[in-house]
Amino acid sequence: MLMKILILEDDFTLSKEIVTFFTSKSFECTPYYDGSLLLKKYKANDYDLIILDINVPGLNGIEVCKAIRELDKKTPIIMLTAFSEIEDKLTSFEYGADDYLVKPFHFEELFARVSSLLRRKEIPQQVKEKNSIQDLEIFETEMKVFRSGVEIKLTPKEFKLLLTLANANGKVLSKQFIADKLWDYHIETNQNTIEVYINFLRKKIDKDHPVKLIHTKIGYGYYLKDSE
Amino acid sequence: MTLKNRISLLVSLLFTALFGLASAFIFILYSNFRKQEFNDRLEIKALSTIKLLASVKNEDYKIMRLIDKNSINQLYDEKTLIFDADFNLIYSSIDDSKINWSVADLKFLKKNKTFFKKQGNNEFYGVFFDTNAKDYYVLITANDSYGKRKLVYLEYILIISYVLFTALCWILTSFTVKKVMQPLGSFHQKIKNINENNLDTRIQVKSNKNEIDLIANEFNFMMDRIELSYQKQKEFTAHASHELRTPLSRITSQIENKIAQKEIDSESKTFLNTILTDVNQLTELINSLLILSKLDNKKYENKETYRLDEILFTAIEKLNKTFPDFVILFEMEENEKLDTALEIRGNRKLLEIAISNILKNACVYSDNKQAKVKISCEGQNLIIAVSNTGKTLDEKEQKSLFQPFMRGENANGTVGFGLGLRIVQRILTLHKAKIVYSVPNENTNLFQLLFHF
Repeated sequence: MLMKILILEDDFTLSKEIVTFFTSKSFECTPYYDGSLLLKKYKANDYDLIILDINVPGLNGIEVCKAIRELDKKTPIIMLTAFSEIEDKLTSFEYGADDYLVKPFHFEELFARVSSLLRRKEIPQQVKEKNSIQDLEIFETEMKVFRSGVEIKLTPKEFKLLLTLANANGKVLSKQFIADKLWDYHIETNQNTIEVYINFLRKKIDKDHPVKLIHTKIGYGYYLKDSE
Repeated sequence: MTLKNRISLLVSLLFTALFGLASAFIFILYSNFRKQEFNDRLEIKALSTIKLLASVKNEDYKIMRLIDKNSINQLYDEKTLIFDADFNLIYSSIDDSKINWSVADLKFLKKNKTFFKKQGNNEFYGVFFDTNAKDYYVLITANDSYGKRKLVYLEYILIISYVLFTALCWILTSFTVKKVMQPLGSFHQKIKNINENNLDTRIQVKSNKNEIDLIANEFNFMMDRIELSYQKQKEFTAHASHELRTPLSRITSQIENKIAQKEIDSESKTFLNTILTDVNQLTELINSLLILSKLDNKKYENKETYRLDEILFTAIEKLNKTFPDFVILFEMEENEKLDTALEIRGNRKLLEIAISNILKNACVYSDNKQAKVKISCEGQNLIIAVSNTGKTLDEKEQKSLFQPFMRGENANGTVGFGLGLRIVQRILTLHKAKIVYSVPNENTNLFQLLFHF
């Protein structure tokens, strides 16, 4: 079945090029040039994805987005705009947009974002994965960590480190292994840096609790276990 | 010399001179008055002695001396001599103090009737009486110790008050002038600190309409106009860059679609790709200009707290999309305070732009597709050091490194406009951070970002 995309873009050339591009990628495109006209015709669940330019005649993109969200909560919306300000980004997200792309953009990037939104729509939300060691609970999908029921704020890197240790089920992980897990091949790091991150994690996870979970195997690496 | 010092010096000098003149004037007048008064007394004394002499019969000088001695007109250290017409001494008072006289004095008296002069400590008065019966010459001398003591006392008073009040005047003048000029000083301090980031600075004007307030008022009006025109210029840049985006996206989309077509020949494809590269550069330039024009203290208040290492990783990730074969050697130095130091209040997007600009630079100017990034703590600063090997900048270039559109000798053959570092500096200034460039070793470029915590 063809994927259907609704496009709101007042610039004729640009609109035509977007349509050409998505048609070549086997999408079915419906272009609109006016925000209020679009809303009049809009029915929920007619389209798989909506691309909205912010600065258009009639109703602007943000208002259109707001109105669509009243009818339809699910269809992914990508905003296109010449504003690169963070404030605009915030307002679009507040009104229910799913993504945001600043003009001038590359089709490749637009396509990548469209695909990712469509994929997210297709795949139902993963079942919550919970990983727990003693009173430490790690929720992988939500990226949340609790110890004794109290939430601990971790940075993404710290979370990834904790998760790596937790997934090893108590096995000792070498510093090199951890480094490779935390950073891709673009970043090379030394063992000190891993120690620094382990210390960050210890401060947040173990410091205020009598039972220490993060252990060091001297000269080799680290492991996560409820006892020695 | 500052105006303040000059005014206090002038006023003080003027007072010193005038008060000195006034004191001297008072002293001279009083000293003349004393002399005149004593002269009068001597004259009265001489007169009364002559009258006494005329009334005393038998020339009984003994009685006369007695009267003289008990006279209320008695003067201190007094001596009276009376001569007849032939210059013979006919009477001398009882004192034994000496009186130096000469016939010439008496002759002078005959001619001029009277004289008054100083003789040692004493004053010397002479008078010629031309009575019907006889002619007399009277020479009288005395010491005006009371008058002199008064004079000395007056002198002391004048000198002491002169010194005291002059000193007081110097102190008070300098103090008062300082106080009066103080708004000018704070005015100066405020103006000194005005730069493009705080054009909203205004001088506080009090209600009283003195010259300083008038100037401050005019200055504020001037600042209004400057701020407005500066704002307009910024808005123009912002609008222009903004308006350029739609045509640019039109160009980009058309070229990209054209390149994607199967029927296009390779020559046209290369040609279109070249154009696309140029359009991309133009886009970057416009983005940079837009960021620069929108960077404004008021707009980006540092509200939320972020971790700098996370911002760094995001920047590296994004950079790798443009430079896929570039490797970052990342290192962190252990420090007690590191985790708090890494937390920064600020604008995440801007900080990301700053860090990624520095990394991009390291990438473009590196000769081995590598850059070192080291995070460490030193004192109250968190330092992110980004270094790469490659051509370095000479001292002259280092000075203008953060100027817009500045490109070093080593920029030959690289893509860019010379706005990147300018943006970095502006963003860091907003976050009260600093950037320092140095060449630690030959062929090594080192940028240090210093975040105060």
